[in-house]
Amino acid sequence: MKTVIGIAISLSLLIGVSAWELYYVDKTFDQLHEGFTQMYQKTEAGTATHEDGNAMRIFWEDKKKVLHIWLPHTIVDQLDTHLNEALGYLYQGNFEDSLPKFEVLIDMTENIPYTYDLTPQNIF
Amino acid sequence: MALIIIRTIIIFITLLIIMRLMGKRQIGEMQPYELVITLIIADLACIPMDDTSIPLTYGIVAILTTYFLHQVVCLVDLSIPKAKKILSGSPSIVLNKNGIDDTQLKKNNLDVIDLIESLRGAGYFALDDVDYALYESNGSFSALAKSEKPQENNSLPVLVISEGKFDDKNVGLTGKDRQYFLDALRGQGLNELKKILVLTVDGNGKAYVQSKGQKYKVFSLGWEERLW
Repeated sequence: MKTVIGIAISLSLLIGVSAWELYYVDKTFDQLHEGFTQMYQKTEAGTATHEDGNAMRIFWEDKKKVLHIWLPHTIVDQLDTHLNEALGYLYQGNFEDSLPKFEVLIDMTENIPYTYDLTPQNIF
Repeated sequence: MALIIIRTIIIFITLLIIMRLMGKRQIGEMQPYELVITLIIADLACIPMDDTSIPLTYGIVAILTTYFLHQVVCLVDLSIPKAKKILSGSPSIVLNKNGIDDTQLKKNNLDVIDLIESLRGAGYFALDDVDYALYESNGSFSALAKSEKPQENNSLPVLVISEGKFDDKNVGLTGKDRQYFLDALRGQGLNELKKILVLTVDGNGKAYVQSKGQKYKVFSLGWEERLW
């Protein structure tokens, strides 16, 4: 009986944690992707403001704390570095150099969730 | 997390299969799946502790998966006898009343020297001191002494031939040469060296010989005095 209870509890925890992780990471990366795309479009149009940059940073800082629980810290740090560079150029009004950085961020938010998909290449 | 769970399950199953294939030699006092869990847990606990770039969640989920697998294996082990045989293996009787069963030894990646070592560990120094000897599924060794145990053996038997090959160091210890033992074997009707599974000799000149697939024989080499 104790064994069966152990199996039931551990299985529930594993399924619960996996489902929550899949949901949370996918949702967060969708939101980040949307945010970075908007920033890219505004930067391209030359309408991105200091406030837009600050709003993006606050949003990212909020998500970053939780992402550290689910993703290897190096991935979160890479996103952090690219965003800091993009916003740095933006604050200086250097839209031309800011654009490629936002492009990298958009690409990362598209691709990182795929590395956690249940595919044979990811499993092996 | 789902990736980590699946990867942990794959590694667990792979290690379990490998441990079972390696035979009882690699296992010590644990069932194969218990050894696998010990191996996995040690690493799972260390990696996230050591490498700060890996979230602790990864280690915790992998350990929880291992616990889950352990509970599942325990349940299967207790409820399905056939599965128990597959998961944990079964005892191997490597020595019986006819002598050494070299097929069982080979099945477990063991040889005559390993068997003699195990017997010594169990307190038996001569192969004919026991009726049965077996390796349990967890790799531990058990032996059943002969009901009529031969008189106290004060001389340590040495292994002269193992699996058709002379142990020249031990031949030297006896003070004889290869030819002497070949002649003695010929006297017992054993003409082919490569067919001899084991030949041990003690200081009193008592020889224990067994050909592959045959019952063992004990005979005297007719030494007038004890040599060691």
